[in-house]
Amino acid sequence: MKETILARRYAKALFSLGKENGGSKKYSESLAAIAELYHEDAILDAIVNPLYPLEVRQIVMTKIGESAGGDSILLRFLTLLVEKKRADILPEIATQIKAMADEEENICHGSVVSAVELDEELKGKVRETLERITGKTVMLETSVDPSIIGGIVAKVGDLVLDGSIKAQLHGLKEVIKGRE
Amino acid sequence: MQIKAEEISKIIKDQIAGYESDVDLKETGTVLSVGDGIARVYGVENCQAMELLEFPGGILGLALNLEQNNVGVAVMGDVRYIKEGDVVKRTGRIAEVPVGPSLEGRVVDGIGQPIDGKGALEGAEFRKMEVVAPGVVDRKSVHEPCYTGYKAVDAMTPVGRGQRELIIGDRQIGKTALCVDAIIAQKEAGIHCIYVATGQKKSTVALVVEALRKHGAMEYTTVVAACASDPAPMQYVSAMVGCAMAEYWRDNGQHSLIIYDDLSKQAVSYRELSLLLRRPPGREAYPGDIFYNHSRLLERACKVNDELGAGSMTALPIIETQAGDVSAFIPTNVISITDGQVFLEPSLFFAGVRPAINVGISVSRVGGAAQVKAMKQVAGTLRLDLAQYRELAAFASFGSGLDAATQAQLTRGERLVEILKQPQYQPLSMEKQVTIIFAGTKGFLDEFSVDILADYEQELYTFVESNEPSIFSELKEEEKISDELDQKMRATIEAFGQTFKATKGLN
Repeated sequence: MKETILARRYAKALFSLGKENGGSKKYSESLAAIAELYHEDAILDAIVNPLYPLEVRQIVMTKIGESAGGDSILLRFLTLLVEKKRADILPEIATQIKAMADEEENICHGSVVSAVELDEELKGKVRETLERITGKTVMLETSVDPSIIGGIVAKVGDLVLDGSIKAQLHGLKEVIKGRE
Repeated sequence: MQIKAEEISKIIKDQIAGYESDVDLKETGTVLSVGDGIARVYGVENCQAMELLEFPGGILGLALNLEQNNVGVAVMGDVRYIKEGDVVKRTGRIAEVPVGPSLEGRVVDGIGQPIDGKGALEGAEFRKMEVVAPGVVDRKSVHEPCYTGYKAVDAMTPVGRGQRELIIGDRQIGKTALCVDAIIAQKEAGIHCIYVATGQKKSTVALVVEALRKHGAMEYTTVVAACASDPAPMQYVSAMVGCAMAEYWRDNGQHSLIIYDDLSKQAVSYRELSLLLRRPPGREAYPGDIFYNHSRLLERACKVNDELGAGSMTALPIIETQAGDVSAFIPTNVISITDGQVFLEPSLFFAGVRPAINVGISVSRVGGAAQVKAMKQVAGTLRLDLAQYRELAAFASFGSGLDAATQAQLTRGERLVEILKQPQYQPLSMEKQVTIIFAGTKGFLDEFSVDILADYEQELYTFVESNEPSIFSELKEEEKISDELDQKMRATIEAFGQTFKATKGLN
C-alpha cells in the first residue's frame, strides 16, 4: 500500500513536467508500454536486480526508454528511478500517471459486458448514457459473456450498472425467499 | 397442518407480479485482503464512515477506516466466504438498526436481526446506530425514581430515570442477577427494558431469557445477544444497537432501562477491532478513543425535557473487575463517566450478604432527587446507622466489655445488614421496602435474633396486607410518611411483633 503513495509522488512530478512541455500523454503511453515489459521476468531482473552494476542497469533502462519512444526528460526520469532503486514501482507509476492524464482530459474508462455482441448503434447509446451519468468522456471496452443471459452490465470506475437478466433473477429469488 | 400446493403457487405468483425489476446502480470496490474479521477494500471511493457495505452472499460490513488507498471494513458475519477480489457494493446506508414496539419480547443478535425463531420483525422502524446524544437544552434534571427492587440500592444508592448507574464487581458475585431483577421490577412501572449481552456465553444468555420469561418480564424486554462466539465487530456494535432501541422509547416520551452486560467485554472487542485496523494501541493496548467510545454511548442515556415528551433512558452498565481492581483502565473510565456506582464485593457475597453491595463505597451522584419523600425519610438514618455500625464492628472485634450504647448500635447495625439481604428474583415494591426499613431504623427489630428476620420480613408484608393495607396504598399514593401514617405504621409493626413472637414461641 505504501508503494501507491510513492508511485503517486513520482507520477505527479513527471506529469507536471509533461504538462509544461505538452508531452504528458506521450509519457503516459510510453510508461504503459514499458510496464508491459515488466511481465517478462528477464527484463524485470535486468533492471531491478542489485547484483548487476548500477550503470549497466541504467543503460538497459535508457535503451528500453528509447525504444518506447521517450524524449530526454523521460529518459532522465527512467535513469533516476534506477538510481533511486525505485525501478520496481514503475508499473504503479504508469497506472497513476494514466489516471492523472485521464483526469486532466476528463476521460474515464468503462466496460460493457453483454450476452451477445453489441452493434455500433447500441454501443453509442450505452456510451452516451454513461457519459450523461459521469459527466466525462467515456472510453468504452466491450466484452461478451453469455452467462448473464440478457441485458448488459456497464462499469465506469467504481460505478456498476447491472441490468442483466442474471441479476434480476437473483433479485427475484431474494424477494421470494424473503428477509429470513 | 395441511399445505396446499395451489396456495404456495399463488403466493409465488403474487411475489413475481409484485417484483419490480430495475437497473441496479451500485458503487463497488474489490476486496484486497481479508482476515480476522477485517476486510480491506479498494475502490468504493465515496464511501462514508460507518456506512454498511455488502459483500457477496449478503454479508454486511461496517466501514470504519477510510484511508487514502483502501477502506478498512469490519465484517459482521462469517469472513470464511469472502475471498480476495470479491466485489463489494456500497449500500449508501449509515449503519441502522430496527427499533420499535415489534422488538418487545424478542431476542436479536448484535446487529438487530432476530435469532429467536419467531419470524421477521414486523413493522419495525429503522434508526441510526450511532447518533449524537441530546444537547444541554434538550435535557432536564433527573427527578423520578427508577426502582431496581433492591432495598439496598433503592434506599442508599437510588437510581433515577435518566441516570447512568454503574454496577461493578468481580465475576460471579451477582452483577447480572441484580440487573435481571431490576428488569423484573419494572413490570408495573411501564418501563421498557433492553438487555444487551456482550461477549457472554450463549448458555448464560439463554438462562437470563428463560428467567425473564418465567417472571413475565419478557413482554416488555428486548434482548440483544452478541455472544462470545460472535465476531468482534458484532460485539462492539451490540451496545450501540441496544442503545438505539432504548432511545426509541426515550424519544417517544416513554421510559426505558438498558443494561449493558458487560462493557468491559465490549471494550475488549473494540480493542481487538482497533488493533486489527492498525490503530495505535495505548494503555493496556486499548485504543486512544476507548474513553470516547464509552462516554458517547453512556451520554445517550438521559432525561429529556417536557417539550420533547419528557421521556427517559436509564442505563445500568456492568463492568467486571479482576480481583477487585477498580483502578484498572476501563473501570476508572466508566466510573468517571457514570452518575454513581454500585460496588459488589466477593467477601460480602461469600459471607452471605446478597446482594453483595458494599454500601460504604457505593454512591449515587443523583442522590435524593431520585427518591420519593417516604424513602428519604427512612433511608436518611439508614446510611448513618450502617456507617456507625461498620466503624464500631471493627473495634468491637478487639475485646469485650462494651457499654450499653455501643451494644445497642451493634445490635441495630446487625439487623439492618440482615434486612438489606434479598433473595434473587424477588424485587420489592417501594412501599414494602419503606415498611421494612422503617421497622429496622426505628428499632422494632432489635428484640429479634438475626436469623429469623427473613421470616419476619415475609410475614410482615402479609400481615400488613391483610390487616392494614392502607399503609401500602397510602405510601404508594402520598409517597411520604405523614405523622398520622407514622403512628399507624408504628402501631401495626408493634402489633405484628407480638403475633410474630407468639407464632415463633418466643414469649
